[in-house]
Amino acid sequence: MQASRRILLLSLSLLLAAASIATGLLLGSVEIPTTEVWRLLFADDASVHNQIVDQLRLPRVLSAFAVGGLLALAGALMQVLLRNPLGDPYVLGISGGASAAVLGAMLMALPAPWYTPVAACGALASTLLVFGLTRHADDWRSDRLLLTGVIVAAGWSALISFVLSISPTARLPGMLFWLMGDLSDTDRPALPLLLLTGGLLLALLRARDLNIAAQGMLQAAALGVDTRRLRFELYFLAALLTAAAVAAAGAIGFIGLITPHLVRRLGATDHRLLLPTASLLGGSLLVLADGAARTLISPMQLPVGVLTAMIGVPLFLFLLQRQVRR
Amino acid sequence: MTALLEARKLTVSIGDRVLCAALDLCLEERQSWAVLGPNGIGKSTLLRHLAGLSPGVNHKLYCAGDPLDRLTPRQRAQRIGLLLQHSDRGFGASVLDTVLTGRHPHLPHFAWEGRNDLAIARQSLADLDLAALADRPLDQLSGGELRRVDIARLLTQQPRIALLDEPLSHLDLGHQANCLKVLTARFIGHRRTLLMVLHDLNVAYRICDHWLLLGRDGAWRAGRREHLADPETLHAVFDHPILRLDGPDGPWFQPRF
Repeated sequence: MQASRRILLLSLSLLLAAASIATGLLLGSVEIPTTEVWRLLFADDASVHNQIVDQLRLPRVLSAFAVGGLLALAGALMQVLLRNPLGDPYVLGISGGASAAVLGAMLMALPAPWYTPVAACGALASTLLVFGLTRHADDWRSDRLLLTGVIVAAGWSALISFVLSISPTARLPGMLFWLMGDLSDTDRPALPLLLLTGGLLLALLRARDLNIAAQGMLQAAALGVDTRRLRFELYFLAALLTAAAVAAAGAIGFIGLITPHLVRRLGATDHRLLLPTASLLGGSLLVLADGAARTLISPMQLPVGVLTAMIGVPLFLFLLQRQVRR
Repeated sequence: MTALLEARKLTVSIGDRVLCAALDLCLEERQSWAVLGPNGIGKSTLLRHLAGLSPGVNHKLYCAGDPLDRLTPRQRAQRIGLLLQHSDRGFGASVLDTVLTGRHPHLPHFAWEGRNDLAIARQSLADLDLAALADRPLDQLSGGELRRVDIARLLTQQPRIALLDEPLSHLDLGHQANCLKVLTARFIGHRRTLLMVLHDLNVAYRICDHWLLLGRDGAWRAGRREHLADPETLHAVFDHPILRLDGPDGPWFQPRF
């Protein structure tokens, strides 16, 4: 891909990110005019509108952007690590571990502020479990890692079903919202944004190695990539990014799976371009999906995971169809 | 003559099965080697070992005098190139981008490929009749085209030692001849060497001056081809009678049907 086209694609993604964040700030059950939203971002007049923009919409939009970016980035890394186009941040059971832990916390009636650290612990436990089981696996093949992850994920989902079936009815809606992914409790976007930026920079340091690893780990080794280290770094970076996203917003599906494919369809197969573009695009997609989730049946809110799946499924099928016809 | 790649008492095994026992092999400048033997005898595994991808045996290998376990993976890839037996279509990268990854071991850590790298890659594509396919994604190539992309990436890597696992598989006869021409021009020259796993004894006899025969139970024989190309030796290696017909341009080999 030529340098001019690379710059164009990156600029367009930046533009889309800015536009989606602006749209996200305008959407909501209370109608606030565009000029006032813009003014309130920088002013402070203690009005209700000011509180809505500064304390509700802005943190939520930024959280959505960060979580979407984290998922898309983790998905792109996972697809290379697993050498499988179906790779997504959740395939190795990271979200399953987090979900099972949070549902357990909900069952024990722990207060909501506990959910994020509990989710992080569950994700970490699952990550270490899968890594421990595959540590000595054949260096050149990824199917054992994939299989182990899928089986561990199946174990978590059985545990989740178990918790759901013994939970009192009053707690079920909260649990279901969490399982589908929900951005309504996200008022602290700083940490996810920081992790997204740091994770993206770290991944970019390895971007050229990723280009080769996409052709197979053995090929990468033949071209002088330290594949053992690369796999280790990829695995734990993707797990950390996923854990951060899941801890903040629950298991939001599809963003991590389809965004990297979308970016490849746009012509960016070089990871030096793919990683930043996918992060921006994933963030934008989730901001827009969340905007829709907040307004479609306002004043009620949908869990955003429903929206990402509703948008993601037809989009992904469309991409697949186009691929077949080509 | 200097040894570019040397194996000293290298034993290749998978589990308990010894594929090749205490191999002494010395690839010298300007030599070209053919690795010959029946299926499942360990040819691909041997190539992987020789390329330094099995850290456990690297202390038995020497690259231009340096023990392989003293080299970083990057330094190793600057010197030794390996063409894998199976091609991979990756995630839809273009032919040119794929071939450019051959420059990886030569580029500083965070650098983009420069004009010089691009020129090397384009030359490799032209040499292998791929120039017209430069922007085509790998998933739209035929098997033979994909094979030539693999070889073009190896040429772009510019190693001094090229190890090739069945380079001619999937290629039509014309492209087979062209690939062999390009490979010999590039690698059987000053300070370079070539080792190929082949199944066609006629190609092996005409292109390679040295043979490494791998037999059952870890047995091996290495040396100049004319010392090894007799029907009795070949019969023993392949466990099948092989006819040798002497023609004006050297011997021709054919399995007895």
